[in-house]
Amino acid sequence: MSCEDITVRFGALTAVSGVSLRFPQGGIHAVVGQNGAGKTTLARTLAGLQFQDRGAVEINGIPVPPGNQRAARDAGVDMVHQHASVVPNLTVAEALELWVPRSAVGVYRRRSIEQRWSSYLLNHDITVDVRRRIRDLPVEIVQSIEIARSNPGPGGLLILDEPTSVLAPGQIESLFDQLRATAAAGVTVIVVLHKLAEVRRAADTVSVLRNGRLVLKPTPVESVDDMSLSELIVGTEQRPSLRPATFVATGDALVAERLQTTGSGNDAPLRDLSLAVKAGEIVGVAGVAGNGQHTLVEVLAGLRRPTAGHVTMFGADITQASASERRSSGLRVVPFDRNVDGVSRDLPLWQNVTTWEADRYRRWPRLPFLAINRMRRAARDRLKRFGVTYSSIEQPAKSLSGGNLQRLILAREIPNAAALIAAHPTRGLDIGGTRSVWESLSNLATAQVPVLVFSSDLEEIMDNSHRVVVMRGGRITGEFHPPFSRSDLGRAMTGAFS
Amino acid sequence: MKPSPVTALTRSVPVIAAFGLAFLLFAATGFDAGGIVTGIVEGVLTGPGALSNTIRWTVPLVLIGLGIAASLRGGEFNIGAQGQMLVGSLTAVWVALEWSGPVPVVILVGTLLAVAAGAVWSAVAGVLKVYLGADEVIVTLMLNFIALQIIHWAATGPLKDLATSGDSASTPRIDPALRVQKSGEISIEVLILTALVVIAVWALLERSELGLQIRYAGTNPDAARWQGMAMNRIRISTYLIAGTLAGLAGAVEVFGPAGRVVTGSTPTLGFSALVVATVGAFGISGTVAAAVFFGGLQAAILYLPIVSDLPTSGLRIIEGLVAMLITAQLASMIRRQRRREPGQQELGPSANANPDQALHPQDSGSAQEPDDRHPANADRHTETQN
Repeated sequence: MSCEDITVRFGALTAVSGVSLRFPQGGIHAVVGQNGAGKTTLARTLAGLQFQDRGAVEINGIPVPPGNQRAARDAGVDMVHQHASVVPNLTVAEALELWVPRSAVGVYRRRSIEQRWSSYLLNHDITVDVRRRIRDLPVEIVQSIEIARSNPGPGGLLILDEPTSVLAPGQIESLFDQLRATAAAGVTVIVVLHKLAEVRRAADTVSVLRNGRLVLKPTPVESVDDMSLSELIVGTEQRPSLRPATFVATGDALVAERLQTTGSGNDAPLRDLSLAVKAGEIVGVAGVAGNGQHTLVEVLAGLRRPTAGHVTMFGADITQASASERRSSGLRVVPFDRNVDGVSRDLPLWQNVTTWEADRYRRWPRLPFLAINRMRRAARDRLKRFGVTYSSIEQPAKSLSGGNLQRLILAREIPNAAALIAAHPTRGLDIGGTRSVWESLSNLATAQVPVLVFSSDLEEIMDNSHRVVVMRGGRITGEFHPPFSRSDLGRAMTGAFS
Repeated sequence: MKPSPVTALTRSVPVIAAFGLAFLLFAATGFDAGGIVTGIVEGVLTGPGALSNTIRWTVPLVLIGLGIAASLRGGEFNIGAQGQMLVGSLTAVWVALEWSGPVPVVILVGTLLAVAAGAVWSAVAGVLKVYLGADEVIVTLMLNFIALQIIHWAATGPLKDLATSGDSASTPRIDPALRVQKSGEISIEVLILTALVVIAVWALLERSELGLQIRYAGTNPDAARWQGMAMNRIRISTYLIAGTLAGLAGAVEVFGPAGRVVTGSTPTLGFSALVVATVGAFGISGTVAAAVFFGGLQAAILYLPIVSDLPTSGLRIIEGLVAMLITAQLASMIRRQRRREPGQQELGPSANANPDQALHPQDSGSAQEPDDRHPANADRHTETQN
């Protein structure tokens, strides 16, 4: 697999600039870089999903026409995307059948495709009921199905775009096992990663992109140390701990008391869950995805009623309060998926910051008509405070990069917050983006606001929380104080403690 | 989209293409294309009473179209404008026939009750959708039929016009003194009312809390819910806006050019307005411009049989082609915009980069869904006409 002088532009932005690259046959090759470094664009170009403005791609010596996914697949290249790209409404068997290229209209028997794909998945060590719908499955299962599905066979090339960003630590290890098995079967695996520890654990070679340029050609992992790698990625910065050193315990500020819910289909229900966050305290919630974290955030945010139990905020019972009432009393939420739940991607930046509290920008106090310029100005001020870079306040939210989008959501949620719940606020962000998010959370805690953070990144949680609780099966199964031990947390998450 | 000579030119391409295709068809089938062009110009602008006819059909399309635009912005596919307008008209006729009092009071009361009737008719669908999860397309479509049958019952029973006969049923004409505009006239009152409504809808959709939240909830209901927006209230309000404006259009018909309710022969304004709002891309100025265009076309359709042997279905072909090509253009612009988007490398293909695989609800919901469904409505509209 090789490519020559690949350049991709999006309007004024050059995402990939003159990248020439040759991956040796076989093994696992990591591509690392910050958000916006061009990793995904390069991967998409190799897989024929993106037209390049300049340059050529060759697979096994055969040139692949630009932007032709079919030709790339025929040449043996397949890609697994960061977010699932299987049809959520289909069953596992149907989704897999759909993937098979066909020349004619086919008729299939449900029973026979179910048998075929069920044994196919078993061969890849995946146990799943193929009659279940994709949307009802946990994300890690969907991802392993996608990897199994995309397997191009010996001599082929499999590209994975940030596959670890949606997984919990235990699942990452089994992903890497799956990748090693794939590579052992003669497939060349290219994997876009964020974390150096993951590169070390999974990859044979590593290459680095920065600002669309290749700054390190595929190099054996053993021959580069972490220090020089991270310098290549960002410069000399390291991730510091941002946990405010002390906090004054002033009693419980945000309390969940014996919460129970019914099941929701994609996440565990809450079972007698109790949790309290003090003012100025950052509590990290660790846990494998699907253990009730989503349900808990929904209940705390007021989007779902518990069947039993209470939620109190600064002593007031808000169990029956609506989401809107909770927000008026200062509860703010950073939702799980910034693209789906965080913003309206087609609307301008200022509307994404100000619409929910539009009544603060009335032109006349008694009439519901708005001073639009004041809204724009307020949005600009907030985005500036949170370091969002953009060219026009009218540009749609989808034109922002992941880190900037997350900062926009923080700029909306953090000012005037009396309590904050942040769900995976750093997912998919680079080192710089991650640090600015934690800085904001830490400043908030310093201002005596209770902060509850859900994250699948244990290192981050341990670096930045005053206290860590572990969720499993809809309850809190462990509570830890610094200094944290990775293995203790891991045991509580997997339930492997005595 | 910012208005500029270039975009204006781009936007007119489908219109010109539609006329070109239609005239090729007319010429191929042996009609006198030159005569048809003259006929259209006369019917829209220069002929006797042409301008007043163009305005006569533009006004209801503006009123109803803006209501539909509000619905579509909120992500609610309310196709019940026809029924909402009919119950408005019937209410206005009933007030005009059965109530006596000073003329301005009767008109005012009739109009207000017609507006209320349209709003209630629409709100029925809204409540069924929002609180019970019914599909709004089916509910509003069925409510159209119910409204039509109620009109039929009224026009053949309690409000029967003894003078009519044949297939169409009609209520009696209302007292001429109650009419602000007769057929073939231009009414300043109606024009002022329409202008005020345009301004009010602009203020409501573009400059009010509710308007911004309608748009937000329409483009991403999940994000709106997480931010604590009152979704039920927002959704119901889009039905009330649509019903109010359709009911108002019904009253304008009765106190204006129609003077009565007729079944079977009135052009289906409610469906034409759906085309208008879609072609206008749910914007205020776009919808008004599209209403003027389709209003003019309607005037030409009614005028042309007088001067040409082209059947009215010929112009319906133009109407259908315009609607089809404009929506095709909108869809392709949206797709192109997605392909050229910077920042997509951050988000992965499921978010935006690959339109064939767009999985995110807000991507398909906001822009493509109405476009996809829309040609079907153009067809339905044409069929009910002929």
